Amino acid sequence: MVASIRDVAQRAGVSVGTVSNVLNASPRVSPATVELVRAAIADLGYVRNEAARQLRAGRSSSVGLVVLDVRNPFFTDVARGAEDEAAKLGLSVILGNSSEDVARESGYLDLFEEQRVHGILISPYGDIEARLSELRRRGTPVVLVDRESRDAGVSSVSVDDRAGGRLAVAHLLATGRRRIAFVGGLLSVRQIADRLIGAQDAMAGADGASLEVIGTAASTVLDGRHVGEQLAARPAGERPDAVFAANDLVAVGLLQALVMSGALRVPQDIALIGFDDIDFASATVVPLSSIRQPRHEIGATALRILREEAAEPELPPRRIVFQPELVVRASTSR
Amino acid sequence: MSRVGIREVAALAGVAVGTVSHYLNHPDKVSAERAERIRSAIESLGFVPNNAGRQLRLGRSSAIAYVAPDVSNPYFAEIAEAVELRSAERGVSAFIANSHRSRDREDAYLRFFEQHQVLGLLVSSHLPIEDRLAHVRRRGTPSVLVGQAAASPEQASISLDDVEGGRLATQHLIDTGCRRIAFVGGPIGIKQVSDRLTGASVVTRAIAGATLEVIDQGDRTIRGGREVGIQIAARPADQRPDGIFAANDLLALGILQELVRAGVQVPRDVALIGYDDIEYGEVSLIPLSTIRGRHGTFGEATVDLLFDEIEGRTDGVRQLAFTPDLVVRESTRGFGS
Repeated sequence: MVASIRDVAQRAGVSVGTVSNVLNASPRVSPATVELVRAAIADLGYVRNEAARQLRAGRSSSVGLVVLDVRNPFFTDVARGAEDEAAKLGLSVILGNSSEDVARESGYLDLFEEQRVHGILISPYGDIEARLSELRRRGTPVVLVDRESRDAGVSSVSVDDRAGGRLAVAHLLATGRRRIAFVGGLLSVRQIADRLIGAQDAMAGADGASLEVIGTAASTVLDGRHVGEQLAARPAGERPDAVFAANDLVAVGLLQALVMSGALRVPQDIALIGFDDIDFASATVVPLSSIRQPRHEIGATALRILREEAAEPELPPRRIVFQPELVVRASTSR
Repeated sequence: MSRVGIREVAALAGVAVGTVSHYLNHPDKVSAERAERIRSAIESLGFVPNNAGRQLRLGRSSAIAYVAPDVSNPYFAEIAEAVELRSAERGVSAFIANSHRSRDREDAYLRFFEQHQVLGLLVSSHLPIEDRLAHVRRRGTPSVLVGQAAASPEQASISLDDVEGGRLATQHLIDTGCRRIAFVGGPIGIKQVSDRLTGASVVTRAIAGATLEVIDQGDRTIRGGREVGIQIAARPADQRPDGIFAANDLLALGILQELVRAGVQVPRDVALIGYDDIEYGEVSLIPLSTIRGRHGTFGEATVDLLFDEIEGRTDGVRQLAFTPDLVVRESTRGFGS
């Protein structure tokens, strides 16, 4: 049990205000009282929580949330989870859209720190964990969202993307598909890379099956559409019989292009599965199979952890990993 | 772990506090040798300029803000993204905040951004907001109202002619042969909604035998659309509308899901058109006809208009209105066939 300022006051037989005056070196306290308080502090091993004091004194009631793509409903749902939780705690949430750009991501971090926000939630794009640990050390709590923390310095709330990739491809293989394509990007984004690694896990031991990787510049509807047009233009023998899209937006774009081509049927000619299970996944021309992430809960949990760390900066960082679920709809059912 | 101040930086760098301050505001005006010492002191101490103090000296932050009702609606997300891109081109950042249609939250965000001295505000709102923006403007923070034409000539705005959009959608339903038209949306107190309804009624009033039913649905989401779809599907076939104009695409997508689930044929029995042209409309169960309001330049124009306000160039056009287009897809093609 850590000694608090109340314990010190009680031990010294003075008010909490007097202890505070001693701590702040106020000249209004008599030397005898100062001595009493100092002795109580020494006896109890009381350590003043400077960071918490600063938070109380100088932090705004807003939390900064940096997302990769504000047009991806996954992130707006995560944001909603954080906002709902923030509202309960009397906080508000300000969004910054990094648009998968290192300079913009860095710019938002600077701005949020300068605004002395209550804390920062970030779905990181660049390799910035060292920078985030530094932010935390300087007194701004940080929680990674949708990416597991690698070093011990920062808390994270994420989904096991690799397990999700395994689920998706195991499902395609189990429904008889053999020529699988993974579509998405950038592959240097860890969430995307982990989904691909999970896909490779599932391929191991699948005889006669192959995994083609079609990397894209980002993971938007437009990226999916471009790849879909390319696939539709290939000779029938060279097309994959199933596509695992890195997220639902890419899957939606692929579906647009395949349906528009008129020559290919989903799922008969090409099965298609996405990732995230956004609300629109069930409303597409062929309802999309997907990997469901608890989006709202990710945001709410991250906000709660941030709040706890703001109140108690000495808390050790935590890693919360949610398990994804397979959702089967018409786009993969024959 | 006390917070590092400018004094500590000055002490470590062996320069005056004023020199550090000078470096922070005009790095080019400090000698290279001193700048290097200050830079390395800042680095090793982890000094962060206190924005409140710095902004007092500099005047303003390097960010603008977009306050929207809810960016989980792709309509607002598309604006937010376009705003962010254009802002980045202009070298500023763009904060985004969701008011979730709550007056309290909207006020809290306006106050927050004003206090943090953003360069300017972009605001989409379904609430009465011009008076509040006028106060904020008088205190020095300019704004552009996005998605709604301002009533005051002092308030910059960028909007869409929603009466024309409502007219286009309804005329299209009439042209395909529909006569019992239903308008789905609400509340009517929201100008964007009432303008679309006004456009619809202009058309139906002029056509003998045409009727316009209003189905009030204030929850303008997929979920809200589903509720309406269930209700319409439950009616006897001859009491259903034969043409539905939904106030946005989300409502239309929800209606579509429930009609299809109940076995109502779209567009053979009921033609359906939405509004906004969000990217999911094209790949919906049955591709959705819609009204396209924004063109490629909407986001750019919005940010540029705000910069005109920020820089005091208020002599030009301060209220831009875009004209919408009709987009015809399967949900209205082939009605009655």
